[in-house]
Amino acid sequence: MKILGLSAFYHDSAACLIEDGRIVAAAQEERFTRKKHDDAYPARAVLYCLKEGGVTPEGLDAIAFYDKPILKFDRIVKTHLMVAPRGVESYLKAIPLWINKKLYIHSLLRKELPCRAPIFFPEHHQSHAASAFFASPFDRAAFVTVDGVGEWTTTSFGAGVGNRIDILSELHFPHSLGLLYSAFTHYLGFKINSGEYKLMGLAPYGEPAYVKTILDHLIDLKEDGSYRLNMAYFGYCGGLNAINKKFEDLFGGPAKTEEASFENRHFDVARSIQEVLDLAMVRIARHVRKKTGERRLCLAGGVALNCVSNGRILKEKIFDDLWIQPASSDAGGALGAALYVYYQYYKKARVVGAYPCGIQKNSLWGPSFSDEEIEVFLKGAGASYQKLNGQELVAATARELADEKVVGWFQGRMEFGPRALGARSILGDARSSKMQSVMNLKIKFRESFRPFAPSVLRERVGEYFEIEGDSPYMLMVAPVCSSKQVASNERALKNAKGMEKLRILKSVIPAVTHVDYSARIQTVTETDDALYHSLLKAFEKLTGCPLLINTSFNVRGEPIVCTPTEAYACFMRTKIDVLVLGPFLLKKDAQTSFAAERPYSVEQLVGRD
Amino acid sequence: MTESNIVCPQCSGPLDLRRERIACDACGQAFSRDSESGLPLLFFDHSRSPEDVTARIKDFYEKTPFPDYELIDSAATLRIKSERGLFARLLDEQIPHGARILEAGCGTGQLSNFLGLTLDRQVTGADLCLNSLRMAEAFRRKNDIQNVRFLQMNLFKPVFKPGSFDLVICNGVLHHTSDPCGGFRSIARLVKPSGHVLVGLYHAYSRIPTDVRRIIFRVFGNRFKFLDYRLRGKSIGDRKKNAWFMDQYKNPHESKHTLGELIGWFKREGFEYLNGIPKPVPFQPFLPHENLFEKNPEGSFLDHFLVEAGQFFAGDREGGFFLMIGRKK
Repeated sequence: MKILGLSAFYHDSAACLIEDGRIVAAAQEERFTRKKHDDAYPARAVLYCLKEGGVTPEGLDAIAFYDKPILKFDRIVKTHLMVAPRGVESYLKAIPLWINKKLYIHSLLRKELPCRAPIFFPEHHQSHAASAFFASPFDRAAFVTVDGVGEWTTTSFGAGVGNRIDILSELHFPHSLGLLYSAFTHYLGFKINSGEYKLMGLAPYGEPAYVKTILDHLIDLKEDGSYRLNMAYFGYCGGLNAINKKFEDLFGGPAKTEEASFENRHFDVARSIQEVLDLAMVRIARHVRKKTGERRLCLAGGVALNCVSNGRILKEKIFDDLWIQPASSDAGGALGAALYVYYQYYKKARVVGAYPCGIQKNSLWGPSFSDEEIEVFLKGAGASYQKLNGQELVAATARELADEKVVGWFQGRMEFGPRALGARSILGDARSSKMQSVMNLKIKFRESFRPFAPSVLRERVGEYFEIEGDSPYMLMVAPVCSSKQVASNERALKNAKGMEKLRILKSVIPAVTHVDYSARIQTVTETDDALYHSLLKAFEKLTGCPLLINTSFNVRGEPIVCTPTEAYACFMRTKIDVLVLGPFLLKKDAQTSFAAERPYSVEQLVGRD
Repeated sequence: MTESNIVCPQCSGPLDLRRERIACDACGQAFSRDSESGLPLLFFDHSRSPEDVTARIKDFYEKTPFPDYELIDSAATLRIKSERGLFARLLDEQIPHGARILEAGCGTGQLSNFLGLTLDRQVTGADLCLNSLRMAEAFRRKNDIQNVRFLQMNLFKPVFKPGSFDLVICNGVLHHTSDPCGGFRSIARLVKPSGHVLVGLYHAYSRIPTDVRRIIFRVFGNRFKFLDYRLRGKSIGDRKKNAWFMDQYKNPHESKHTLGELIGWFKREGFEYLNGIPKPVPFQPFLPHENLFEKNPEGSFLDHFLVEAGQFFAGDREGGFFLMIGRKK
């Protein structure tokens, strides 16, 4: 039985094909259209999924869309009625879109996918819940979904057993942890729906000075994790902005603009909201444990991408085990919707994938390219490369990495979800003290305050990080072991304020150690990704260090690369030293530049949409 | 960075910058280093009289370095600010790695540092003003941009062998010299065959509004500063406003030029016109994804006239400026 899942028209459009309860293909539309967080109908992602599965639209047994447009429309109209006559402006902006497009998703899908397969519309949080539980390796577990907002629901929990999930309780708009966090994202000068993880990265620079302010004024957080927001401080009901003047006054000044530099106040605000979120998530988790009696927990929804909170839940040992959907944002809704229909509507027997990753496996469900395809491209581009077999390739790459070179690593199928997991990654040596700033400023072109995440051999993770168990999707934060910390600098770090903390050496793996000695970890096993595992092994053999910096293969403001062409363009336009495309190794020094009679710009070479 | 291209500005004999004491083996001319920044001071005067424009311009910019780094405190902000400008962003997108670039008249070095920051291009920033270069070098060191270097030089007496660069940028510089055409000839020699040159100059007609304002400021004093778009705005700080004000209105020397004139210089030195802002043909807007190095029509005399007439009303905000890119045949 083949089911196509779709998410679109809000943010992060995606498509996913499942066959008999197993994932065949899944990809986000942004990777194909090269528009970050593309929210259009995912035409190209659908095309890819159908091609990968070898089916035509007629071959589909069902189509699942990840939310109920009518309910969402209902929320928007009612919210505007509630605040009328304020909000007219945003009303006039939103309504034409709904009337013209978003309400007719059924007919749009029929037009795009000419077939007789029934179309289902599970609710937004049902889709999230399904993506959390059904994709997990557990036959029974509790689940929590937290995001900005779906139709009405913003937070929900329940329990899944076998092929059924039941949502036991939910909280409704406008009370939303996701939107609360987004409001602070906006306040600190980052973009909503994409800058949240920057806020998370900023938090450790500050002190939790505003926790009480937030709890007193903005959110009424109960012991059981339920909460209400004080809407007097927010503008998203009817307004065009997330926050209002009152909110700004509460934190001692107007919202920071993108280019203004950070003040200590900003760090403290970031730290405080992160603490409040952690507190809320821990309370929710405790409550869910009590209510459901389940020993394991699955998480999904945009807030589940906050790995600091996830790490806190794990540390508190509320549940025995924790699994997080790697495509937790709305993209994962496509997968969830398809799984929901398969199990809840068709009532099929549950397929439980192997521990620790479930049917999600390594989350590599995107397009791949054959060696021949890559070579044809490289020849056409006039690139200078060498072809190496498996062991040579891994050994040569490890040598470059040990030599403090930055390597673009492009292998096999693309990741589904926002993190690069070793298929479309930029890699570097985490022991190098200059690596963080080199990679941030000269390759990723992003803010220097953000640390990188390590990929570490699963079998040696305990030597470097205080974490038990797996974190295959880089969604867990844990402290660097004290034996690997540089203890002599502890006092200096304590006294330093704000960005000064960045300059102090914190551990033997400085590039992946945040200022609070934490790291966002990806554990790698041989079964997950044999090639990537062998690269880490080879690097370990050379240096004794079982981990590498792993950051997504893109530059700021662009989606992660999908094709060899995009990878090559990114390589040629940044200070990446070495590119490994499948079995081909390219060195920057060997590439021709101005000197030869060749097109000037890489854009010209690869074409532009 | 290869040092073998460096020559003595007096006799063109080889010069070794790695040596502690820089001196030309051929003619014996010695050069010093700046004690503060360590930058090589290779300025060699080409004019005979001390009252020459070069000396006055040098004095002027030593006092008011331009464009200054106010609010740009890190490589990240330099990048953000630079990308906001269409021109810098296009240059960054389209100049490949490994390119050897000279920015003749780099001022405080923002563009040089930016182009070197993002990709391994071999960038040399040269200027006659030491105070500006010190700022450029301080920023470069702070952000550890290894593939950029700065040095003091007189563009009429360059310290490079002919054909040393893939691209020579000379943006907003020649019109502050006594002999813009001669200056162009001097830097044009440094471009290798099929390499490129990029020149930005004040325009004869679109500069008129600035000239009018200058007269107003001179007559009525500086309280009429609000007449200028940048001085009126809130987007830049006071220090930067002052740098702009001085550069635009108190500059001891500037000349103005036309599209046809610059195309003429290109031809004389063996360059073909490729692209420019504004384009020398009317009703052809400069697009946000324009290929800077692609051949475009250079337009007729009438085309130029129409574009220039339009510029009188349009190009005020940037201070009446035009840019052209040419390729050496």
